[in-house]
Order: sequence, then C-alpha cells, then structure tokens
Amino acid sequence: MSIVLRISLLIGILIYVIFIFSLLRKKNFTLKYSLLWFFSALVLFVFVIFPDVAIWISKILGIESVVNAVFLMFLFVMLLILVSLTSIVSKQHNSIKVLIQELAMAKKEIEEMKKK
Amino acid sequence: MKTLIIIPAYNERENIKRVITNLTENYPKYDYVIINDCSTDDTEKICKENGFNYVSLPANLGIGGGVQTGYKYALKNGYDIAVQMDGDGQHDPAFLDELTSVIERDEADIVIGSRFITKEGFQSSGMRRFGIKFLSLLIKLCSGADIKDVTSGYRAVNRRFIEIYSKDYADDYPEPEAIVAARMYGGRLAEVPVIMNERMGGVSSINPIKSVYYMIKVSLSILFFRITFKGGNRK
Repeated sequence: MSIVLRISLLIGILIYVIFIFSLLRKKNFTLKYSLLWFFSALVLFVFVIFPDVAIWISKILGIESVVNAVFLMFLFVMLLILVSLTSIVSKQHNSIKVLIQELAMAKKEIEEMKKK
Repeated sequence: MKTLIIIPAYNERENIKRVITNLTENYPKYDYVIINDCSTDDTEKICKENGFNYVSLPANLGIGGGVQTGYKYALKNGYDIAVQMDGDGQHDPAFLDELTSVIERDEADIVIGSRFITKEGFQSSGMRRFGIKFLSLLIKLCSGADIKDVTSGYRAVNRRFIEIYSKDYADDYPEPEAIVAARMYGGRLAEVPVIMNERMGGVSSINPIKSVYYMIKVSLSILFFRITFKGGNRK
C-alpha cells in the first residue's frame, strides 16, 4: 500500500468516526448499533497502521495486490453489518406486528365501552 | 364449548355481508370475529353499518398476522375452540359442526377441512393441485403429518393451540407451516372432508405469477421451520 493511500484512508476513517460520534451526540444513533460501525472502522484502522497484517493475509490467500485484500476484508465486515441490520429489522417487524394487533384489540374494547 | 369463528378479510366488500349474514342467520350458536386487515375498500364501513363484530387492524399485516389477531382475540375472550374461515365465501359454514365436533370429542387438537378426501366441490386447477400434493409430501417428510389439503384455511383448533398460535404463527402463507408447527408442538391432527365453493366476488390474493414464488417460499419456510425449531420462542 502506498503512503498516499494510507494517509487518505486514515483521513477517511477519521471523518467516518467523527460522523458516527456526531450522530450519537444528536441521539440519532443507538449506542448498541454504533458498535458494529466502530468495529468496521477499527478493522480498516488496523490495516492502515500495520500494513504487514494486510500483506500477510494477501500472501496466504494468494491475492497479488495488497489493497485487494483490504477490500475483501472490508467486504466481509459490510456483509456482517448488513446481516445484523436484517436481524434488527426482523426484530422490529415482530414488535410492530404485536403493537398493531394489540392496538386493534384495544380500539375494539374502547368502541364497545363507548356503546355501553 | 365456547367457539369462535375467525374470519380474516382483506378487501371483501363483495362477499363479507353475505358470508356473515349466512353465518348469523343459519348458525347463530357460533360467535365470530372479522379481522379486517386494513382493507383499502369499504369492508370496514360495511362491518360497522351492519353491526358486525370486527377488529380492524390499523396497518396491513397479511393473512398470518391477521389470523393470529383472531387467535389472540379468542385467547383474551376465553374461547375453547377457534375456527378459521375465509371471508370470501369459499368455506361453507355447514361444515362447522363437523370440524368442531372432532375437537369437542377430544380426538384431535387441530382439524383441517379438506377438499381432497371426497373430491367434491371446487378442486382448483390441476397445477395448483400438483403444488399442494408436493407440499403435502414435503410436510409429511418433515413432520410426519399426513394431511392432503395442506393449504386449506378452513380449520379448527382447541384451547391449547389457540394459546400456541397466538404466540407463534407464520406471517405469509401460514397454512402449511402451521401444520408443521402443530406437529412440532406435539399436536394431534385430523382431516375431515368439506366441500368448498369457488369464490364468488372479488379477487383471490394469489395469482399465477405469485404461485411459483409461493411454492419456493413455503417449501423453504417449512424446511427452515423444521430445522430451527426449538420449542418456539417466535412472536
């Protein structure tokens, strides 16, 4: 990895982390869900600071360009985050379903009480 | 025994009045509840004007979430038997006694009304029958349940399964999966012959293009349900 790439990646990570922090401060981001995103920044950070790790991985996997190994690692992290998002959506789907069902029955009870 | 008929309805303005009037006039011993799944037509208005007993969902949940609301309603109001019956007139209430009597005699926990035992009445298209046969075989292999009409939405369950289904019921196309679930929870299944009509008005919720998607989705959901089942903690 060239020094220019490493410095640009470092700046990118910095902006990214600052962005997540600002979202957290504005309460637009639940701490629980921010951890995965910080983890993704950390993975990239390790590659930038210790390029030897990336070089080692690319050698083992037989990837010629080291930067491709970095991309590959990051792709896995993204996949992980996407799956976790689906899991969050599913949980919310269930909560919303229960809410709708209970609300519908509560509305019915109120209507019946009004009639009496 | 206290019996509730659960009638899921989505855009059934052309059928709902006829179905409910038939039920209340000819079979008054049964209580019923219509689950209006956020219909975009005036199904709710018709229910209100005619003084029908209905629950109206504030957002569309699909057939699974709708029927499950019915089970929750049955649980809350202390019913011993719940019967699912479509709101489009396909299911003839004349068979209610036959469905519920099996449960009253405690011969089964779940009774499914089947078109394919006596093979009378509306049998649906050959393609669809083939699909149902395939699902039936898959369910038999996965759970051991020997049911012919696995997609029939005309079924009765006892108190135990009112409780189970109000906690754990599939979202989309839930009928086949509910059979597997029944077996996984150790339920006794029975099938009784019924005669179904072709729907009289409105549009069916399943069209030919959706059918392929339906088959894949249902087959996978049956397999995954079987593999991942662990005493049921879904909601």
